Amino acid sequence: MICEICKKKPAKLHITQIKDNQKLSIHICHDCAHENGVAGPSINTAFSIEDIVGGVLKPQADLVEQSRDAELHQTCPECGLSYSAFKESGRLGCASCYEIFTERLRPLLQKVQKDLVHVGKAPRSGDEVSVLKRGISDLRLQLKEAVRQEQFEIAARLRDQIRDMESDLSNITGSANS
Amino acid sequence: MADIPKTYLEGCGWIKHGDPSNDLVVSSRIRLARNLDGIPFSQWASSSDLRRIASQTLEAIQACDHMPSVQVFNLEEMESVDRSFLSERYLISREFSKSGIERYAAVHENEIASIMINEEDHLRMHALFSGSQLRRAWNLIDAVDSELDSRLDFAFSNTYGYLTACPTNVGTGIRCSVMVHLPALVISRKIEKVLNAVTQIGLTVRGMGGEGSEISGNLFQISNQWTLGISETETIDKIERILQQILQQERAEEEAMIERGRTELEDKVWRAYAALRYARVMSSSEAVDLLSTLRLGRTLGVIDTPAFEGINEMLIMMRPAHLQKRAGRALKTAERDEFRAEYIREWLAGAGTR
Ligand SMILES: [Zn+2]
Ligand SMILES: [Zn+2]
Repeated sequence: MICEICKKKPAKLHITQIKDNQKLSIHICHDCAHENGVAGPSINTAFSIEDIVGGVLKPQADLVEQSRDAELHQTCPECGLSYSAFKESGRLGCASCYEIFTERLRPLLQKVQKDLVHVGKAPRSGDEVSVLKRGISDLRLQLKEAVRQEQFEIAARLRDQIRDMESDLSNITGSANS
Repeated sequence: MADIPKTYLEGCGWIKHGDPSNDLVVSSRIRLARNLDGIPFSQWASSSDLRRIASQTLEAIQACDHMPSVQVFNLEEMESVDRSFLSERYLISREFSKSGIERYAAVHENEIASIMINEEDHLRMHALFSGSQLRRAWNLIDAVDSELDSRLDFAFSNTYGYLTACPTNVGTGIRCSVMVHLPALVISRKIEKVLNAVTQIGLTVRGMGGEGSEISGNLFQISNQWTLGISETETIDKIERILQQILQQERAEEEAMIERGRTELEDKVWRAYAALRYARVMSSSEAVDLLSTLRLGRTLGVIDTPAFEGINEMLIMMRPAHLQKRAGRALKTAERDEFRAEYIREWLAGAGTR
C-alpha cells in the first residue's frame, strides 16, 4: 500500500479516528506524517484526519465543504430548494439539485428507474466545451462519493483530473473570449 | 399569436399523418423533456427567469427547420376554452392548459410536433402520428431536439443524462406512448391480466377517458416508465415488442368473439351506428362507447363505413371546447350534447360518400 497523501512512498502508518460517530482512516508514509504533525518533531495532538484530507483536497476543498454543508442543511446552494420541499412536491429545483442531493436521490432512482447511469442521446457530442463541462460535473459526483467512502487515494486522483480538465476548459473558453 | 387558426376547426392535422387506417393502434407519440442549464426548473423559477427561458427557446424554435411555419400560442393571452381546445387535440397537456405565466406552445404546421415552454420542464416537445409510428415520431422529435441543442445549452450530466424537474424523467427524458383500441380483450375480461403483465416490465398502461381519466371507449395508452439506464431506441423496441404481443391477443379474442355468434355482434354494431346516425342528444361518454363499437365493427368487417381516420377525428372534434369553438360561443352541457349529436349525424351522413 502506498501513502494516500503523496502517493509515492510506502504507507507506514495506519491512523484511525472516531469523529461524530464516524470512523475515518488513512494510510500515510513517515514524511507525510511529520509534515502534517501526526508524528515526529512537530507532533500535533489535535490533528484530525479530516484536516489532512482537507489539505489533500485543497483545490476542491470549497466544493467538498460546500456539499458537506449542503448535505447537513439539505438545501441546494444554486436554487435554495430544501430536500424536504422536494419530498413534498416531488419536483427538484434545478440541475444542481441532482449533484447536491445525489445520495438521497439514488435509492429513489433505484426504485423507479432501470439503472443509475444514463445511456442514450447526449447533447452536442462533438462540442469540446460541453464534453469537458459534462466530464467535470461527472468527476465531481465521483469525488463526492469517494470522500464519503473514505477512498482518499481515489479522491485525490479525481481532484487532479478535475483540476486538469478545468484548466483545459478555461484555456478554451479564455481563448474564445479574447 | 393567441387565436386558434380557422383551419384547426375543420379537422385535426396530425390525424392525417402516419398511418390513419390502422384499426387497433390509434396514435403514437414521443415526448422529450429538456431544461436550460443554469436556470431553475420552471416551477421554482422567478418570473424574469421564466421570461428568459421563453425568449431563448422561442428564438431557437422559430429558427428550427423541422418546425416549419411554426404556430406560437401565448397561453396567458388565451381564453380558457382555447387552451382546452389545444389540450383536447393533444397539442398541450391538460395540466399546461390551466393558467400560468410565461407559458407558450409552439406547434408544427401539420400539428405532428408541438413544444410546450415552461411546463414542468423548460421544454416538453413531442411528435405525434396516427397509427403505429413510434419510429417516425422518434425520427422527427430527435431531429427537432438536435436542432434546438445546437442553439441552446441543455442541462445534462454524464451520470444522470438530461436533468429534469422530476426524477422519473431523468436520463433520456423520453416518454413513448401508443394509444390502442382493445375491445375484445375488455369484453372477454382478459384485459386486466394482459395489462398487469405489462406493468411489471418498466411500462405502464392507463385507460383513456374522454374527459376524466377513467377507462372509456376501450382505449388504452401504453407508455414507458424507465428513462434512466435504457436508451431511446431500446425503449421504443420494448414498447413495440409488447404492443405486438397485446395486438396478437386482441386478434385472438376477436376471432373467438365471431365464433361465439356473428349475429349478436352485427346487431350490436348496427345499433351503435343507428344511435350515432340518428340520435338527437349525445353525451360525451355515450359517444365514446358507441364509436368504440363502430370501430370494432369496422375491424371485424361487419360494417364498411366510416374510415378509421374519421372515427379518430370524431373522438377529438366532439369534445367540449371543439364543439364550442365551432359553435362560436359558450355552450351549456345540455346544449353541448345536442350540438354533439348533430355534428356526429352530419359527419356520418357524409361519411358514406367520402
Ligand atoms: Zn507520503
Ligand atoms: Zn437546485
